[in-house]
Parts: sequence; structure tokens; C-alpha cells
Amino acid sequence: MTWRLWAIPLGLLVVTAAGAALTLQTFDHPTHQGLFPRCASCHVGISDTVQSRWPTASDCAACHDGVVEDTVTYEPPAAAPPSNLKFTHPAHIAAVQVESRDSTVTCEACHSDSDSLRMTVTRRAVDRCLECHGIAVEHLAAAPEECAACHYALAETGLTLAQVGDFPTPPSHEADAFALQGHGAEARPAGATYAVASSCATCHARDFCLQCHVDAPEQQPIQALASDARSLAIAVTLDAPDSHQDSQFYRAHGSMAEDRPQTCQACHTQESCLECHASRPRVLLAMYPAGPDRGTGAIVTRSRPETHGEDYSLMHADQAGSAPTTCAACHTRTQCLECHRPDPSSDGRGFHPAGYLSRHPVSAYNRETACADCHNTNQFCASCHVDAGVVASGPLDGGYHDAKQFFALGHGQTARQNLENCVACHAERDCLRCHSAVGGRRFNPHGPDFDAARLRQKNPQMCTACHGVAIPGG
Amino acid sequence: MTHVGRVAVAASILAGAALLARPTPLPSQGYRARVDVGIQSVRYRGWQLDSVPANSVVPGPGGGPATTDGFAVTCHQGIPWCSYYTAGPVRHAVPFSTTATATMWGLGVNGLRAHGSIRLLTDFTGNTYWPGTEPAVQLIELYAGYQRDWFAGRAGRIIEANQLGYAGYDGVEMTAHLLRRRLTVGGYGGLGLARASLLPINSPELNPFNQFQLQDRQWILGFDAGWNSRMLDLSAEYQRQVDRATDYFIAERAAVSTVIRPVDRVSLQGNVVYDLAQDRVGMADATVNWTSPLVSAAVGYRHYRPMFQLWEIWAAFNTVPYNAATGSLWIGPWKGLRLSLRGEAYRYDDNSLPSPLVTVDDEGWRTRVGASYRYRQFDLGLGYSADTGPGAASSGWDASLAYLPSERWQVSASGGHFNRPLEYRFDESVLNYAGVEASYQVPQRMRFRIRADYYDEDRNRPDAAAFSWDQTRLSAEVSFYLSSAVKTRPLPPGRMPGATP
Repeated sequence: MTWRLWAIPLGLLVVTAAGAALTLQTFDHPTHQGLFPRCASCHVGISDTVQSRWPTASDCAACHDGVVEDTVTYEPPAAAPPSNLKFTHPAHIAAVQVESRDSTVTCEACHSDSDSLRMTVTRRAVDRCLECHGIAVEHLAAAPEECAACHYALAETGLTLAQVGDFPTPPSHEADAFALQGHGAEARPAGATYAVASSCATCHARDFCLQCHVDAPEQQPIQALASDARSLAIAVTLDAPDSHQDSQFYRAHGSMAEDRPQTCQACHTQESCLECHASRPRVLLAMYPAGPDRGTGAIVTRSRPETHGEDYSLMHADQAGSAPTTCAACHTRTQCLECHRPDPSSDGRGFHPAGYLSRHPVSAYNRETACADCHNTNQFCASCHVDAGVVASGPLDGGYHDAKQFFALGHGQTARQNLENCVACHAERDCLRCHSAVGGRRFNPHGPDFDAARLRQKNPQMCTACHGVAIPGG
Repeated sequence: MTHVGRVAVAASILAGAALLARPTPLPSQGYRARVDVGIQSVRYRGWQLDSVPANSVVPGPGGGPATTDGFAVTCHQGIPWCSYYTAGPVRHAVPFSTTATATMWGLGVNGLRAHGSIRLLTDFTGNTYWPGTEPAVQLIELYAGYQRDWFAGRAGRIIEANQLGYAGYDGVEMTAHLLRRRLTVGGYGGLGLARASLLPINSPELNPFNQFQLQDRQWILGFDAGWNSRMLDLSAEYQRQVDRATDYFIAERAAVSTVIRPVDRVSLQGNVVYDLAQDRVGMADATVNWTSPLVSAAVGYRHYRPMFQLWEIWAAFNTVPYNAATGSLWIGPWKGLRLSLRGEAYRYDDNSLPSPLVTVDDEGWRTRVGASYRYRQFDLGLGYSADTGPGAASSGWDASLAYLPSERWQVSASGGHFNRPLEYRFDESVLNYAGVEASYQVPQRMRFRIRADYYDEDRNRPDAAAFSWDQTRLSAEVSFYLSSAVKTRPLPPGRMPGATP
């Protein structure tokens, strides 16, 4: 019994395979070349719009009745797939007959090669279209205005999203400069009498342009296109042009924008400028504000310029000093003052690293940067040292500098090297105790290059702190 | 809470409410405002000077004099007592600030605008330990500005920023932009503020030592000119500050700074600040930079000499400058990874004051090696730094890990270990620290940040004066941004792909 159980499904498989072999997937025209004198014998409706241009299953069964010939399974196409072709057989046949009265334009003229056997047909007729209509270039390289001869604009078709997405890319679109420079001239060449080239409208609608164009309302070719969301099936990305890759672009783009604002308008909104610009540059008014009928345009992300490296905070002074307007383009005074006039409640993060309070003596002694650019020595350093108890509150023998036994006697070198650090804990009176020429021990603090005359000329009052009214040379 | 504290809190609430109310400007009027509120809690231990009778000291562990309970003391012949520093009381500070900044335009005259920034400060503990928290109200800037095509002017409380530093004053500034804005010429003048401070030079808050101080605010006067082009930026500044009571100079300085870009990616920058009052160079530097997306390098020279104002006696003490060779290198070998190396070696000029009693180094160096790696939503950073010079040194490593799940949220943790010896005091501090931080921001709307740090620091000494300097710091900051300008509105998409027309 076992083999019988297997025989049933195997038999069904064989029968199914045999039946499939007799199912007509495509009609074998050459095999039937001796049977049908005319194409219209089967394609009855080819020249009118009432009858179908496809034969019916019963037409096949006239011969394939199982007696004369084996039966076949055939179903005519339910409907032609959506197309953007203006071409229809009845209209074309009528036009040929009426307009040119060219009796040579037969079915074979389009559907067969001249040297092929009768009824050796092909459905592809694009080359023949171009040939007859005098277009001497490849299909996708046709002139912008010639597409409309055969094609409807996208918005006038019933094409599916998938069909739109599968549109082939014309060779002109492959050029490097096409996206950023060439396509505008192709959409409406100089001197053109039409608003937008049919070559654009065939595949694109306004929605497609709005993926990039901020200036869409001002661009006549874009406005001439109908709105159709299916055009978004053709994906496009807005890449920055080569000019934007230049390391100095961030410095030069302002004058470029002032010289040719219309170039920037295409991709940049006012908002994209303000993404970086803290101030409102004059050329901003030449840009369009973002709006519902405009493209998103370039998405600008504020980022550090290449010149602003890891340690830029330590070396920005020269650039900020020599070109403050450059800084002001992206930075507000508030940002500068966050460090240069720090908030006492802030933990100081941003400029100083973590744990800086513990490490600050080494920076204070040897001044990696000028502390006094941001911190008033009296208000910030001295007041904190006073409250922390680490100040000279009287005589110099307080004992803080206990690692050097005779520090008070030999402190001169340290003081000359690190005087800014000394004054964070020591008041002037501490030094005058010994260095004053009036009430002190007359230790001269002036070095060999001391220009007494110059200082006396600038501010003699400073001299009186040590010398009283008897200023030497005064 | 102190009265000032209550005022500061109330002001913060009112400022926030005003921002939330979002005043509607009239057509053509505009404003941009920002309110920053910050609070920090800090506990730390200070020092306390103490003394014992000279006849009560005993030999300490190292052989020197010490108190009977082990504190090393300093005694001087002829003085009947010996002094020493011991651990002081724990200080607790809770500084709180509210800073409101606003700029308004469209005031009826084309080109006219007003700008103001004010800071309210208090310490919730009622103490004054934390620097800068007094006075309670500090005006940062407040001026009216007028700008046309080639002319700009401001009048009011202004902070002038240039190579001579950030100088605040109450006065007038005028600037002319000529030759298509390539040439800038300007001048300013008024009553000055103290150096690096929002307070006038005669403010009692600037005199913690109760020493010499000017009685009146000083005049400040300055001129500047600059040339900006694609290849060259050049500026020159002059500034003098004069005592109003005596007409004596407080400071007189000039600076020249430049950035030259001879070829793409290469720039030379330099700056010289000359102290005209003392006829010598103060700060100076020159650097050659080369930058590219993957590598950035710089080598340079730096000259540093502190510049004191002439109302202090320090200008007569003839400080010596140091000269430094600097270099830095930054490499991004592959996406997400950045390596950096920075170094500086310096040497002080001859100070003409050698002392056989105290030997002090006259040179030093500092370096930092760092690496950071960004992988998806994580950002890892590692670094080692060392800084050695006369007076103090520091060396150690640090690490951080940040998690950035979105543009709005960020959570990070950091920590490190440092050794920090002092040269003039027996102190071999060892610091271990760790901190966590979380921040949330709505771009162009608000930003909130909260942070906690713990510092475990031992100040090691061979005597009883070694004490822990552990600290716990908590801080929180919130900033609100508001503007009538288009920038504060979310960027509306014209048509996003797939949208229905």
C-alpha cells in the first residue's frame, strides 16, 4: 500500500506539470505565421477603442479544442498597466492614415525588423518611435522639449509609486554639476517660450523640487510643475557643493553670499544662517524664511571649524583680537563673558578641567594663561584665600612656606618669577615692612632694568608708597 | 535665607515667569533674552594660623621644632612665639546667582538697539566665604547701541574686549567700518571698572587685605584699528587708564595682533602687548598652525610677563618674564577617535637675584596627552597631564564617559587621580575625584544641568598638619532662552519626503 500512497501525489504533480506546459504564457507568433494572414485577425480591436486588442480564449479554442489541437489555457490581459505614454494604437493608426496617408506604416513597421520572418514581432518600439519622429539620439538623451511628443507629464498619469521610483536616470543627470548647476538651465533654457521643459515634467512634479529648493515660490519652472507626491518616489539628497569643503569656506562664505545671494537662496533659509550666526548678517535679508511652500533646504549643523582645535580656548586670543567681527558672527558677548566675567555660582566647567581647584597652584605659580584676564586677583583669589585662612595676616614669619627654612630671606627669585601668585596671599604692607625706604629696612626691590624715571613720570604716587615725598631723582 | 537671597530667588521666579509669558513684540520689534540661574553647594576645610610659646616647642619627627602634639612650627630668633598652620574650620558656601541678559531692537529708530545684562547674587548660608558673591547686584552690561551700514556706536555700561583684555567702563564707544568693512577704526572712553571685575576700582569688595586702594574711579580711553581680509587680519590697540584725582597713569598699553593665512590650512598668528608705562613687552606669542580634518598641528613661542597697574606698588618690583616653546598635535586617525598631544617648556629670564639661602628652579614644562573615542552614543575620554615648575607641580590622569542617547539628554561620569606637590611648603597632596553629571536641553529654549563631585584629597605632611581636604560639590544650572527672532522657532519642513501635498 505504501507505493500507492506515494503514487497519488506524484501523479498529481505530473498532471499539473503537463497542464502547465500547455498554458500560454506568451503567444508564439512565428509558429502561427502560416495561419493568420493579418494581424487584425486576432487583434481585432487594434484600430478602434471599442473592442479589445487582445484575442479571447474562445478564439484560441477554435483550433485548440482538444480534437484538432491540444487545448490551451489563455487569458487575455485584463488591462494595460498604467503608462505615461500618449501613444494609443487607434489614435496612432488614425493619425498616420489621416495626416500622412502613409500606407506603408503597417504593424510590421513598428513591431518587426525588416529582415525578420513574418510574425516575428517585438513589443519594444521605442527605437522605432524615435527613428520615425526624427529624434537622432538615445531615448533618454532627447531634447527637453521633445519628451512631450510621446509622454504625459507625471501629474497627468496614473503611474504607481513603484513605477515612478523605477524611472531610468537620463545620462545628463549623471554629470557632477547637474544637481547644483545644470538642471536649472535644462528646466528652462535661455530664450525658451515654455515655463518648464517637458523633460522635467515627464518624471518630476513640484514636490520633488521642494525636497531642496527653498526658493521654489520664486522659481517659475518649479511653479509651472503640478504638485504630485508620487514624485517623491525619486529620492534625492542635497549634498554640499565642493566650494563648501574648502577649509576657509566658513570665512569666505559671507562675501560670497553678498556677491551672489541668489546662489545661496536656492538651498538656504534664514534659519539655516541663524543656526550658526549669532548676529544678523546683512545678507540674511536676502534669504527666504522657512515656510510651508518652500523646500527645507540645507540642514545646517553648527559645528566647530577646523581651526578650533582641542586647545583652542587657550589660543583663541590672537584670532579674537585681530578679527573680532569674525568671532561675532557665531558667538555672542554673553558666551565670551561666561569665562571672562565668570558667574561665581558656576562650577567653572568648560574652561578649567575637573579638580582644578586642587591643581590651581601650579597654574597660578607659572601662569599657563593669564589668570587676571578673567579673575580679579583681589576679588577672586585674595578674598578666597582670606576666608580659607591661607594669607599673611601679619609678620612674614607665619610659617606657611615651611619647606624652605630661610624662605623669607631668600624669596626674591620666587617673587620676581611669580609675583602674581604672591599677591594672592600677601598685601603690599607685608612687602613694605622690609622694602620700604621710609619705614622699612630699605631692601631695594628694583631690578637692574628698572626705569625709575619713566615710572616716576607715569605715576609718582606709586613711588611715595616706599619713598614718601623724597622720591629719588624727583 | 538672607534678605538678599530672598530677593534673588524672587527675581529668578519673576524672570522665569516673564519668559514663560512670552511677551509679544510689536511688528518690527524684536528681542532676544536669556536667564541663567545657578546654585552650588561647596564644603571645604581651610587653614588656621596658630602659635605656641617658643619655650614650649619640642624636637619634631624630622628634627625640627614642633608642638607637643606634633605640628611643625616656625620660630625666629628674638620672637617669643613660634607659629604654624593647622586645619581650620569647615567652610560651607551655597552661592546662588541669577543672570538676566536681553537685547531689544526695533525701538523706533532703524539701527537702534538696547542691551543689558545684570546678575543677582547671594550665598544661602549667609556667609561671605565664596568669592564674588558681593555685592548682591552686579551690572554686567547696559547700553544703547546704534548701527548703520558703516557706523556703530554704544553708550552705557560696556565691556570692551580686545588684546589688552576685557575692560569694563561706563562711557561711549564708536566704530567705523570702511572699505567694504575691511578697515575698522574705533575709539572708546569713560569711567573704568576694575581689571577683570564688574565692580569699580574703589569698591570695598576689591580690598580684602585692607590695603592701598584708589578713592575714585579711573578714566579709560582707547583707540583701535583693524584690517581684515582673506589672507590677513591685523589689529592695533592703544589704551590708557588715568587716575581722576591725580591725573597719573594707572596703565598705558598697546597691542598688535595678526593672523596671516598664506596658504590653505596654514595660519600664522601673533600678538604683542607692550607696557608703555614701563617700556617693556608684557605678553607676546607667535604660532604657526596647520589644520586639516584629520590632523592639526601648531608650534609656537610665548613670552609672559605679568603687567600690574601703577596704583599698586608691584609694578616697581621688576618681575622677570618667561619664554616658552609650545607645540600641539591633534590626530583623528579614524572616525570617532581623536588623539591629542600638547606641550610647553619654559624658562624664566635671569632675575639678577640669586640667593644662597633658597634655591629655586627657573624653568618648567607642562604636557598633556589625551584620547577620546566616540562610539555610537558613547563618548570616552582619557588623558594624562603633567605640569612641573617653580613653586608647584601636578601630574595625573583623568577619564570620562558620556552617554548621549539623544540631542537633548546627556549623562556623564568623570574621575581622575592627581599628585600635587608644593615646593615651598611641605605638602604632597594626592587627589582622587569622581563626578557625575546630567543635562537636558531643548535647543534654543532651555538647558538644565545638574552635577555632583566628590574630591578625596589628602594633604600629606610629615607632621600633624597633614589633614584631609575632602570636598563634596553639588551644582545645578538652568538657562532659559527666548527670542522673537525666527531662530527660536523650530525649522518647519517645506515638504518632507513622502508627505501629502
